[in-house]
Amino acid sequence: MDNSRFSEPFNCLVVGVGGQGVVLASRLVAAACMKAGAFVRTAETIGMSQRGGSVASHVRAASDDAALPSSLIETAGADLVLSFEPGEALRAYGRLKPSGALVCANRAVVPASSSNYDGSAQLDWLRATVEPQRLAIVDTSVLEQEGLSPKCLNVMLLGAAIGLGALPFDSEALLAAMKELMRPNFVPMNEKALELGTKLAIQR
Amino acid sequence: MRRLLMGNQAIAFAALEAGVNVACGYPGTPSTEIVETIAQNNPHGQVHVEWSCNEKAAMELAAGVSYSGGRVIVTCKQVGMNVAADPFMCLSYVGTRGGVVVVVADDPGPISSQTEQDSRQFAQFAHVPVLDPATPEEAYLMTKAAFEISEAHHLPVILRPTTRVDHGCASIDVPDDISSLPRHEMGGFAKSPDFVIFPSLSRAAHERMAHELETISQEFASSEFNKLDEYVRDDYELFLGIACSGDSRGYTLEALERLQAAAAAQGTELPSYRLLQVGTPYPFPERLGRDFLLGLSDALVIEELEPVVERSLLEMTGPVAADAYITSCPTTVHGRLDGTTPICGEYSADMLVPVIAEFLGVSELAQVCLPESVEVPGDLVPPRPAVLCAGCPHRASFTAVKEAARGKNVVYSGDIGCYTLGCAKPLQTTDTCLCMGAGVTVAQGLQTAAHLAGDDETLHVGFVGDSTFFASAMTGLANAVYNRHRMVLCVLDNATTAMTGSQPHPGTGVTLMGTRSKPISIVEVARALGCDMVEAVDPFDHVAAVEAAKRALSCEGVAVLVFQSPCVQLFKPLEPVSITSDCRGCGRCVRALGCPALSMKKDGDGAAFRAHVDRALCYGCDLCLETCAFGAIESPRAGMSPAEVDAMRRGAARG
Repeated sequence: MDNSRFSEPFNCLVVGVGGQGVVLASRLVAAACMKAGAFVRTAETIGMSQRGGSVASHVRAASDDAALPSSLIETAGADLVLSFEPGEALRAYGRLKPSGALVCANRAVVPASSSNYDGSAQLDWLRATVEPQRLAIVDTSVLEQEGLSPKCLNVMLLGAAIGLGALPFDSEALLAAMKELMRPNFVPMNEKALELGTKLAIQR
Repeated sequence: MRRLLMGNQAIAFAALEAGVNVACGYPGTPSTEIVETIAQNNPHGQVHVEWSCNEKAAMELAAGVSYSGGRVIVTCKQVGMNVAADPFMCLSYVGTRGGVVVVVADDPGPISSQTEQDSRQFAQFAHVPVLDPATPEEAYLMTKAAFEISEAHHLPVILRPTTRVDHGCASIDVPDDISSLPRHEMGGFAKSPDFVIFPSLSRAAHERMAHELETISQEFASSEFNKLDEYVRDDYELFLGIACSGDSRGYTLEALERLQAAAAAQGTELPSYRLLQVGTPYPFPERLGRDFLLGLSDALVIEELEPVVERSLLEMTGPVAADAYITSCPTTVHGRLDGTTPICGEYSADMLVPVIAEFLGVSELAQVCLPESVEVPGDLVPPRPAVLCAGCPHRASFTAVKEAARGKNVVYSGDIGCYTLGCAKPLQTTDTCLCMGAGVTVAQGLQTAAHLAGDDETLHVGFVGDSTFFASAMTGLANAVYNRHRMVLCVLDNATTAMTGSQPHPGTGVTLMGTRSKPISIVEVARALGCDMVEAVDPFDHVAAVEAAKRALSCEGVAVLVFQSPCVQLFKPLEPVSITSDCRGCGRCVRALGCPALSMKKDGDGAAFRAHVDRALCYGCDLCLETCAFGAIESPRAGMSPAEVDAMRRGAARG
């Protein structure tokens, strides 16, 4: 298979709060990269921090294993940061390449200890810092408006990343990965979330 | 077929390929998925798979299987090895028959563990070989090799993956028919005095182990898991060497790659160096170590946690070194021991770039390849500690005990599980936490010390989960009864091993073989041990739970209170609660419970703060209703009895 698009490693950092579906999103990216012919490495957060803590999954894809000695994305190493939450996008921001793309859900998950955090200052900072052509802020209320489960957020974010041109595969490859990793009855609604996300990023 | 496999899955697949007959262990992050993966690929029950009650039980089971010629894999996290230490230390003396692979998952960081202990040292302590994978695909190859090494030398073999290997995925080629591969042929148990450990046997065995380890060290010198390379530049004499081990190999290679690229960009090259990559740290492959050290003035050792490879190299360069050449021109070894590399925590390529650059004398290159990251204003990144889930029954149990203890001086001894999170504000019902099963016994020590100081007023409460109760708290409870320690033990029975992802345990009666055993009742165990008061209560039946806790606190002997309510991971959420217009915005609900579904938000016109329920997170536990003085939280379950709600919860089991 032609995997020349992976001649330079592709690094994607998926971040959010434990329980939001970060691991599944990263597995979808990994599976779709594999389908596109890449060798893939990931590092996931599983365990204690899953209980409402901040979590990060690293996905790295390259033409062969020798190009990826380790699984961790380092400072300013990510081509794409996919964030389920505004504050978590800022926590991960130092790992984004200066040219990298950032996709972020607009809905804040308020830590149990916090009283005045609502994510708006974080989104403002992102809009002021990241050029619009490499930033997509995803309005999660669209899911509700379209009658979709909040659990579809992960695929909607991935759709937005595809719309931004920030993933090394297309919707078809992602759909194939979804069919492989999700229960069959979850695929149709996620397919809709994928379209929504892609459109949203293109129409920005 | 090429598949994306997590390191733990890859280890499981390799064990299945090796024809493993038995897989056992006790759940513990980051090791849990190994046994689970074998169970998931065991359609005909051809492998006996079990979650043992604890690691000691698993290790002893493994010994029996091995004596019978069976291949067995035992899994645990690093601290689990402490529990299994007794049988493990003895097993290498008695020796194995069928291959025994003990997977001990280490956790540099630590990311989710009590300690940063390094299981390579356990291998040294027990005189057994250890394999230390850098990647999931290497863990896969090493697992298969470990069975061979174990059988060739009649010793158990430790495979020591670290978190990034266990919980990292990689593309790995594996057979398609993983569920239907043949099992290893077991010879059966043949009686022999060799299986009875005895001083005379142990003395001979000690000698045998030493000889075996010498042989294995020779074999490891040519193992595919170790690599010695030289990067030589014509105009630069070779006198520097870098040795790296385990997981750190990946970070080292990446840091070197970046430095090389930075050098190339400036039209130069790195100085000549030798690179030793060690995958078999013990017994150390000395022949390879000698080839590495020969002619070097300085060597840098990169390994996370303890200086195992570093010490091995130091032994070879020190005064007792057998090699005359090395003794006459000793290499200076740098690493953990001289402060060149950090003592603790996880390594990374970012961290290693300046260390390696300085060692190679090219510090200026480190500046080039460490990109400047954009400064994010610190106050914009919200602190986000782990918390108990919305709807978690532990929150209700802690709240009930705290309410019953109001006005009394109480010390809370916690244990290992999700409920360790009871230490955080606002619950603050965990004053100590040591290790699995220690809650019940540390409480006895605190009570004894208080008593000796003339304080019989302070009350001592231990908390323990249901799985932990069976793993290691029953003896502690027997100790309380026997030695007459006044205390309350609260068993937080959520019908699963929650922290590690919902594994069954003796109290559930569910086994990994798909059979059902009679669930062991914690209440009956406590009664049989002779506790003075034993009660079970639903923590969400708040009034009853507080009353039960008051009775337990006033019990003069050993009281056991079993809080029974299922973990939220086991059932679907009930309808969320809602906030009515009666909310005065006092914030008491938020402050009292620390529930992730509750927060304070500005209301519609932005004039005042009001309580807000995140409907996507609320599990409908209704605990917050108890905290509101204005009756401003409304539940769809109003009018239902606690028993009816409990039945509803248990009825909403996840499919």
